[in-house]
Amino acid sequence: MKINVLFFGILTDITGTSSMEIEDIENIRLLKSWLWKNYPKTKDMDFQIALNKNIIEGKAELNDGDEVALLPPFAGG
Amino acid sequence: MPTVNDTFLQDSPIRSEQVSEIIKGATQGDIGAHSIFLGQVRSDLVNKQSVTIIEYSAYDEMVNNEMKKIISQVSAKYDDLKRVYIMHSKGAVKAGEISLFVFVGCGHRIQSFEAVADLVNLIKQRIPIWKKEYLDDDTYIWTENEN
Repeated sequence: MKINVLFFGILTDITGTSSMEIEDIENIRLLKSWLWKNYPKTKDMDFQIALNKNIIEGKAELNDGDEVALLPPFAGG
Repeated sequence: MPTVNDTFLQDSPIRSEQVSEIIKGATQGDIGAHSIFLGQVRSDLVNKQSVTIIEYSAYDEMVNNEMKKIISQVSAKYDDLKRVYIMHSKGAVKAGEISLFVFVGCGHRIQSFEAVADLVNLIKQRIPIWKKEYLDDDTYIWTENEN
């Protein structure tokens, strides 16, 4: 099972990329653990999560082919 | 629902000709008031350096979905809203150039003032756009909106 993770704003600097495929991450909680382990700076950061382009709060299961976007605070205008 | 544009991002600053084109196109007989908001890049001082350019990036597909949602929300609140046009820049916009254009056409003035203010506030809160502010010495910082 693969998901596509998108990074925006300052997260592109921290991860050095705007997207990556990750295997065998079954839910949002595990994705956050994976992120914190691989990019410890993200632990202190504030970001929202969009699953297939809809912002989600709290827990969610992930399925093959899902697009998960990590969204730092917005700055349009 | 008011008449609305389909896409909301462009890879360049907003040109003054765009503003006049939208005004010229809003001649429908039920519009009696236009309100326009233009967001301009300020040369703020950061650590004694001036902001020279803002580079905007966006989650394009989500921008389109969320813009449609906020326009629906504002349309439900203001029954006099006849036309909405929103355009936000992506990429580099220099200090003094325009990065956001919001146009509202209503039957009467009061709802046009309020609807344009609501749209701008919702754009800042809900639209997935980020900015990198470049300073005089070519360093940059990521900034976020104060809400």
